[in-house]
Amino acid sequence: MASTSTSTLSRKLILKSSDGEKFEVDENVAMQSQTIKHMIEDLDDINSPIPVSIVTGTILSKVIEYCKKHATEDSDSDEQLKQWDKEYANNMDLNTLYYLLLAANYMEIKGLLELITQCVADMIKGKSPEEIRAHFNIKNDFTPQEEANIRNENPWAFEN
Amino acid sequence: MEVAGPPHQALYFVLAYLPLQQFLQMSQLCKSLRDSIRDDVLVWLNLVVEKPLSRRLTDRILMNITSKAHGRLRTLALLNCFKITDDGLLKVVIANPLLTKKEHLLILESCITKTPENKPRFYHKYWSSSFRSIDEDARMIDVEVCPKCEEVKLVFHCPKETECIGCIQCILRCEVCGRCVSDEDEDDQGETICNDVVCLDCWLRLPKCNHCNKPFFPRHADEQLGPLGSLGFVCEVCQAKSLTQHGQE
Repeated sequence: MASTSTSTLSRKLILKSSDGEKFEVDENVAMQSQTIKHMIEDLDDINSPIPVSIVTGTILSKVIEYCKKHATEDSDSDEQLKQWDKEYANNMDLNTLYYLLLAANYMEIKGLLELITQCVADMIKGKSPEEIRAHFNIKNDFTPQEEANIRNENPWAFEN
Repeated sequence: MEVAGPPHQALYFVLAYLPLQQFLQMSQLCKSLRDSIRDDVLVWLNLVVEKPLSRRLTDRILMNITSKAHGRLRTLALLNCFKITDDGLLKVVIANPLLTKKEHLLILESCITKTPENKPRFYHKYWSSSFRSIDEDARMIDVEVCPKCEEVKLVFHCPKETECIGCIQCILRCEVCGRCVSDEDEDDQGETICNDVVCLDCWLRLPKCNHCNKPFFPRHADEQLGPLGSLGFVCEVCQAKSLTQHGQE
């Protein structure tokens, strides 16, 4: 762990998505991912592409966009960065958010994982079970009896 | 529109981020979410009870919902849950040995209604203040959550940079002036007799041993050395060395 900031800035890494797309990124950008950080520590040749096996090219490009922004955060104030995060997440459709969340979890990018989970959690807040099912396209597979039972399971949390 | 089906696997990650009431409501959506919420220990590890559930939470319900973590509860924050008794809380704490100090602190803070505004605390002044009296520090709770490691520690501010806040394990500080000292850059600190940390500026100003040119600490002065003469001093280490050398001759 003797690397200094000057030497890491100049190095480039190649990330390879599950569908074979390759992305050249600065090492400090890729190091936002703990998973990749650990991978490069064990790597003899950093010039060979690093496989990010469960993430597609479309999603990986969005992950890299986030990491680039956060690797150079000192140019922006915290407030500006938060605003950028918000717009970044708001521009995604639900499907992209799902896969971005799984990618952030796999790649261990804490900030991105928190951003996306919070964004999806905000979509859930304040909605009734019926509204949530509609929003997330979830099938109600309860029998009427089961549904009644489950509603009575935590009465303390729902009574008014 | 797609045909409705089971929830996307990503949704299960979101469960732990929902406020308790919304989280419990998710079990009404479908069987797989109900099963996760009922059986998955991982979604129960961090429990925050706040409005509007605070006033409804009783000892019995608390015992019930914390038992879902199977003794692995990591966070427990009970904000204004006035029905919870000391005994009820103690039972939960005993049943969950992983509850760390940080969560106890949250509980404490939620119990103490008014916390005085914290003024910055400086490392060098903290240790030199006459045994850290409450008056001097004006804090009800001596420790706080370090913004760097998120552990409960004594947290210090930097006299130079306002944003430089952290415990002594996260941010190394000069014993003399309290400013942050780079851990990696060895040129940023001076070598001392007692291996304590001193920034280079303070190092230059401190009186040094005539033999090894290492400074001694004002804080340790009484313990180690007599009054300084105009001729300077020889540190304990060098004194001991010269004694053994004489012995060998």
